[in-house]
This record gives sequence, C-alpha cells and structure tokens, in this order.
Amino acid sequence: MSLSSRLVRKLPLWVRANPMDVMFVFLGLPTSLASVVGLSQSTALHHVLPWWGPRLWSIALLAGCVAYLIGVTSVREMLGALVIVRLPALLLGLHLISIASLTYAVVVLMFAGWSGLVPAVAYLVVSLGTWVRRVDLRGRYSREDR
Amino acid sequence: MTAWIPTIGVVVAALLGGGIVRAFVEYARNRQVGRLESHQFDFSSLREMNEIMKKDLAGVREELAQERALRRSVEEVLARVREELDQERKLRRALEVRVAELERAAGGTHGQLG
Repeated sequence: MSLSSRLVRKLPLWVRANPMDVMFVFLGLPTSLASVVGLSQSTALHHVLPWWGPRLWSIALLAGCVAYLIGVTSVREMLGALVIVRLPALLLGLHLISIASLTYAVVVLMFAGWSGLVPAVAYLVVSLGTWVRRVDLRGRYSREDR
Repeated sequence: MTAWIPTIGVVVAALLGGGIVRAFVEYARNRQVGRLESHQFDFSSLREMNEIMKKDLAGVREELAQERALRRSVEEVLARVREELDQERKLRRALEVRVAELERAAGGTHGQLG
C-alpha cells in the first residue's frame, strides 16, 4: 500500500466520508471567526448593510460552519451504511451557510455592480449547492418529503 | 455610492435575520420530529441501537396483537352475520316452497272449479 493511501486511511471516518464538506467547513470557519472578532472586515458588507448587518452575517456564517461541522463529525458506520447521527445540526449548518452566501452574493452585486459578478456567481453556486444538499437530505430522512 | 443602497441594505439585512430565525425554528422542529417519530439517529453505539430497536419491536408486537384481536372480533361478527344470513335464506327457501305449494293447490282448485 502506498504511503498516501496509508495516511488517508488513518484519517477519521467523518473526514474520509465527506472530505469536500470538511474542506468547506474549514474554509468558512477562519473567515467567519475573523469577521466576528473584527480581525477581517468585508468592505462590501460594511458599505451596503446597516451597522449591525456585517456582525449578523458573520455570526450566521460562524454558527452555520460550527453546526455543519457538528453534523459532519457525527457520521457513523452502522450495519454497513454511513449514518448522520446529528442530522438536524447538519441541516441547520447548510441552511445558515446557504443564506449567508446568498446575502454576500447580493451585497457584492449591489456594491460592485457588474465587476462583482464573478465573486457573486461563486457565492451563488455555494448557496445553491448547500440548498440542494439540505433539501435532498431532508427529503431522504423526513416522511413529509419522501 | 448610490442613495438607494443603504435602504436596500436594511432590507437585505432584515431578510438575513429572518432567514436565520427560520433556520433555527426548522432546527428545533427537526429535533422534535426526530425525537417523536424515529430514534434511529439518536444512538452512538450498536448496543444503544439494539436497545432502541428492541423497544420499537416490542411496540410493533403490541400493535400487532391488538390488530389481531380486532381482526378476530370482526371475523366473529362476520361469522355470526353469515350464519344469520344462511338461516334467513333457508327460511326464505322454505317460505318460497310453501308459497309454491299453496299456489299449486290454489291453481288446482281453481282448475277444478273452472
């Protein structure tokens, strides 16, 4: 077995099961944390939103990333299947990240106009992707949407 | 910056706030639904899952026994109704035979008289 395979197999199951999700969480966590404590501030958010808006946005993103991380780390292997033990937390995380990304996309478009189209599209894609995943997971586990 | 941006900004921030509240309300509802409807996501070990499934199985068995008892009582009622129906059919048949006999007898008399 190659060294890389051995290294990857030593990672926890929740990382190996959803590496992209974990990547997104660790991309969002430092950004939101820095924004909450005031280390990094988005110019677009501060110009467009009222004084409480950027703080609310960063809290939503931080809470979303933490909830998403709680959900992602609760993946267990049960009887040969991967089960998300803390599904409500994962859904909450996806919901918060989705609305935070959508808000940022709208704010960037309002602030920068057409020149903000590229970052806005990137955030819209994140918002759409998290929304699809949330609706799909909710549908798979709830009786109403099955 | 355009003058309308701060106004729209307040609307966007308010929508963000509303979305956050909605997300937490949905979270509370999901947790409650999970607690009421299914326990399959509340376990952290196979032993725990086994206990939950044992309890669920006992519940299902109890419901099955109740349904069987109901089915038995319905079958009893049905059997009684069938029995009554058979008796009524027999009586009706006997009555029809009797009516036919009487008609024949009346027809014979009428023929003799005619």
